[in-house]
Amino acid sequence: MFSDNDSEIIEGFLCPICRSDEKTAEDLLRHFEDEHSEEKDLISTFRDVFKSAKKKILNNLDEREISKAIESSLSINKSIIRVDFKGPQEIGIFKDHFEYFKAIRNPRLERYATETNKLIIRLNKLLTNRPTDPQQIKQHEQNLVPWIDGKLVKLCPSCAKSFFFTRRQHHCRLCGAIMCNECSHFLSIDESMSIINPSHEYPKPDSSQTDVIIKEPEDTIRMCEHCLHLLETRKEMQDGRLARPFITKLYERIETLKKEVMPDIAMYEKIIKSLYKGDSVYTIADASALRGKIGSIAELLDDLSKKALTLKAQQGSREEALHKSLRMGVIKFIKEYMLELPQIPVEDEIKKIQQKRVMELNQKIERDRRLAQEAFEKYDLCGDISYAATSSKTGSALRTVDNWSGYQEQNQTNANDPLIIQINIVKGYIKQAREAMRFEEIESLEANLKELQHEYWLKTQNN
Amino acid sequence: MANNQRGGGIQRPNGATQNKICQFKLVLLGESAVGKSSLVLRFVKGQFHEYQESTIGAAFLTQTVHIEETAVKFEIWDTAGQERYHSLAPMYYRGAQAAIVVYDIQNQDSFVRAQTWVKELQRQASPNIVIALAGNKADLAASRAVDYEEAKQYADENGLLFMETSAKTAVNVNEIFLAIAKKLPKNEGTGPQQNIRPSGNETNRTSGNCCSK
Repeated sequence: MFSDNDSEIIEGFLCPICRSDEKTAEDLLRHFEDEHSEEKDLISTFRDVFKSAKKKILNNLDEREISKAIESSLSINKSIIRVDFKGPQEIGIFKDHFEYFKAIRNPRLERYATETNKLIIRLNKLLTNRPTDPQQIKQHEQNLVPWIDGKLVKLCPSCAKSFFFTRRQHHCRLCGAIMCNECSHFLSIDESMSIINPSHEYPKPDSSQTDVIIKEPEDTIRMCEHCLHLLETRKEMQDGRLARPFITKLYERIETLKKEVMPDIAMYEKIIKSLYKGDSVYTIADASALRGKIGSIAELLDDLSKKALTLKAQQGSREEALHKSLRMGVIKFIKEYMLELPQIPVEDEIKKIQQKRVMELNQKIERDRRLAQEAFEKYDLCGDISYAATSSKTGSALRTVDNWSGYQEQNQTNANDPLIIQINIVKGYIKQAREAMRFEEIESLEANLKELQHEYWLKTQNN
Repeated sequence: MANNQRGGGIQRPNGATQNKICQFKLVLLGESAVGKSSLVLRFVKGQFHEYQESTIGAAFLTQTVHIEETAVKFEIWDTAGQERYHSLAPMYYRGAQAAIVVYDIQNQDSFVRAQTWVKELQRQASPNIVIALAGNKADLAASRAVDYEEAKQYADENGLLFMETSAKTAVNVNEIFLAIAKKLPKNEGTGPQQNIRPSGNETNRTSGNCCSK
């Protein structure tokens, strides 16, 4: 019943009329529209209409038949319109040319890279074990790079001038090519060294070192324009890799300043707090010195960020936005952390607070003493304790009211006492630390000092 | 395939000559992965591929069926079911004399989609088109989601041929094509449309006489 079918299965964007594969849906629709357009179809459908009309005349068919035929032809037209306009338009064909670009670019790059590398290697060889004697230099150079035979070259390849006894032939030391003196370029030894070894620091000579300045042959290398160009390109690339834009440097500077100032601000707040508490560890002078330091950093930050605004940038560019936001960031930082610093307290106020604290302490000591006395009276130990309490009172008063002058008189009397010496040393340290605004050290030194003083007090008690 | 028709008669395997050759354009429609390509492959090549690849654009195949004295040649356009190719479908069903709308009996959505295809065909395709509804993957009746009765009723209401088929087990595949082939010439008789088309070489004029007379 079924005949064998060995025809191939074809698949794809096949045209239903001519069965050609159009590769994409869009191409197929376009092809269908172009090749098998409505007109041809209309002709065939009208032919049908005419045929049926003829039939009608001949066979007297009823009206329905012909209207049906027209209808069907219309419906076909409708379907064609549907084909044309159905579905969202897709974007045209994409073709990625990146691979092609790479295929072109890679060999080119490679050629440049190998050529440049060859020059660098030669330059390196030329510079190592470079003899000092000019005659030997020439021999050294010719050993490394084969020089082109001068007889073969009649004209300078770059300026096309003929050579004669005033315009002599010269060789590029890197490729061995011939040129005239005017077309020669010279690279100083120092600069050559820096090309070979980028970290090589050479004393910056005056800016025109690569220009056509004829120097002594010992400290320059003659080369043709081509070789120089390759080396310069490489150098530019190296420099470009190392160089950073000014804005980055500015930003880094600002960031380090910010980092530095943060502990200072924290310390300042601590000092103020301790002053208001009536502690004697820090003085008002400490606070104002630190405040001054913070203020100067704030000014510096402000200046730096203003500099960012003065940098050149196109109106509305991202660069400009970057500069602005750098400035805004600094302003915000200053407002947030530096402008809202608590005021330095008035000296009288602090003195009052300190005196009050001393009084409180004294009262407390008095109360403790009384309590202790009452307690010890029962055990007949009152005398010793009362002595200890009064003595501690004077000690603490001296210490809290005036840290610096309090013990100095005693120093003279007990200069031999190792404890006193130690106390003086610590005090010296504190003084130095204060000058250097090392407030954390001051704090620990003060604690140390208190211990020493306590020790000293105990000792005097025992005596 | 061209020499099949050119002579006006072809040699049957038993040597008898065939007088009439009819050529029909048949299009397969339906949601993606319901088994359109598998049905066609089973019908044309007698093969079944477990992992049939999804059709791109459309596939074109031919198969000839012999009914009594007539050779019915199907030009089968197996369309891609993926929605993004939907815009191509009108091109293929235009001028088609027959269509098989396929759904997967395990997939209610594909049945709904089949109904919209039927509607589209009734609205846009040739008025005399023979539409057959095929509930494919009948071998997987265990996980059926579309009732036979429901589909049958829908087909009857819309005047469609209906069969549940299985490209895998070859159940009802040839049958549905045969049923279409049998229905086609009868439908054709009076209409002036070129339901029966010759191969490219012959003119329209001669084609009209092929099966109608």
